[in-house]
Amino acid sequence: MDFKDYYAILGVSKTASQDEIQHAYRKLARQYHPDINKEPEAENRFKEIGEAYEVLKDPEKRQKYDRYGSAWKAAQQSGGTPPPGYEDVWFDFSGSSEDAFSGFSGFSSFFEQLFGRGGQRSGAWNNPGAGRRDSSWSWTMPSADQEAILSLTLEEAARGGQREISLTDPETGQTKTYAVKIPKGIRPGQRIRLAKLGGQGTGRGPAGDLYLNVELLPNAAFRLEGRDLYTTLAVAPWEAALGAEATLSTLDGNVRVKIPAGSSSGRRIRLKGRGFPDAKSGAGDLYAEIEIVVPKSLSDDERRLFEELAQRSTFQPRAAETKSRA
Amino acid sequence: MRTTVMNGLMVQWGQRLETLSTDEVAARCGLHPTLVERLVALGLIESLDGRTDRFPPDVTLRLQRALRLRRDLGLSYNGAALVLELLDRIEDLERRLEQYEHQSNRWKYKTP
Repeated sequence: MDFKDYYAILGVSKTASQDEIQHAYRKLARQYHPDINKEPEAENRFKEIGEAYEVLKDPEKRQKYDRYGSAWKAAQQSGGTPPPGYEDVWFDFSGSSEDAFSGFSGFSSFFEQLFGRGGQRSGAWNNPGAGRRDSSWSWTMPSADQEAILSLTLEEAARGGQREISLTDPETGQTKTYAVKIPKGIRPGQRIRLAKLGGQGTGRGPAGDLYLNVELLPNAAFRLEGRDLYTTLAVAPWEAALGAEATLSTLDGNVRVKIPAGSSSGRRIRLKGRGFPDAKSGAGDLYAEIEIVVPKSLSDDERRLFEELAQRSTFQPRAAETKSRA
Repeated sequence: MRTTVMNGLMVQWGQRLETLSTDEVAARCGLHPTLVERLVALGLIESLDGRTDRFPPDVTLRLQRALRLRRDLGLSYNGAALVLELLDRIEDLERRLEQYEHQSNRWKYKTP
């Protein structure tokens, strides 16, 4: 069991006033609340912060912590057992709720050794069973409905199909694998509901549902906006000027597209119904945005031809721009 | 390992999907139905067409989030509703920013 430096966790000095402690706690609680902060570490941080505050906000607990906490640390560092007299230290911690900031249950075993567990006067060292329950801290509410993130590639989301997910039962520790059927054309932000796969209901309540929140992994070729897909089509200057045909890859295979003569960069070619599938209103469109690219180095021939073009052409690419500025 | 095949139902698409009544929402979240009604009046959650007593099933997730925010951060229901609305907006902006960055990265790094 590790010593926990509650002062360091809250980022306050050992001589901090109760006001300073409360201020630090509130600030950190807002920052790391798992419903606000999506970082995977946020939940653990938030739990730690809550535990630290639970001790330091109460002058009596704080005093005990100051006294026995440092002895504990010293004992741990020297590899010994907890300080003598430890078995007499318990604190009737029963989750006082006069403070709005007190939604915590399930503290670290360090905390439980030091202060005992809620409702049970048994933090004593000589009763090893008492304080050692592997506490699963619950910041969840009684409802058993739960949510998780399901990351899909654009292709997976478009085609739908089966995807395996593993769920571990927190009580038995058993892992079960489920093959989830992903509806075709699911979009980021949408949810898949798996009935009865959530947590256990309270009392005789029914088992909750598990919701999978769909997220799309970044895709190098396509960008999704609503039901429409955007991609780029690289063309040579002469293809853009003279018009050409090119192969474009779409979500379902390659297609030939016509590049109209006189296409500048940014022009969009629309391929109707080649976008993202949608069960309700049909597939969206695919927009291929033309991007004119030039060779990095020119052959002698190419250079000669470009130079000739430069001399003969009367085209003024900046004419419109200059006019609008004037 | 045993694999069970589950049919995922998409929540937002008006396919045949069971809905929850006020009482069912209350039971799932461990609240009194009157409180659920109050939270609807407050605009924290919305019923399916804004009038009837039917809720999309994932309304419980939003409700739980609000309850946790209230409990852990000392917010009022109204404050929790505001936080949820702002979080929705941030999520939307982040998604748009991602698209935008995707677009501008393409111009930056593409080497023909």
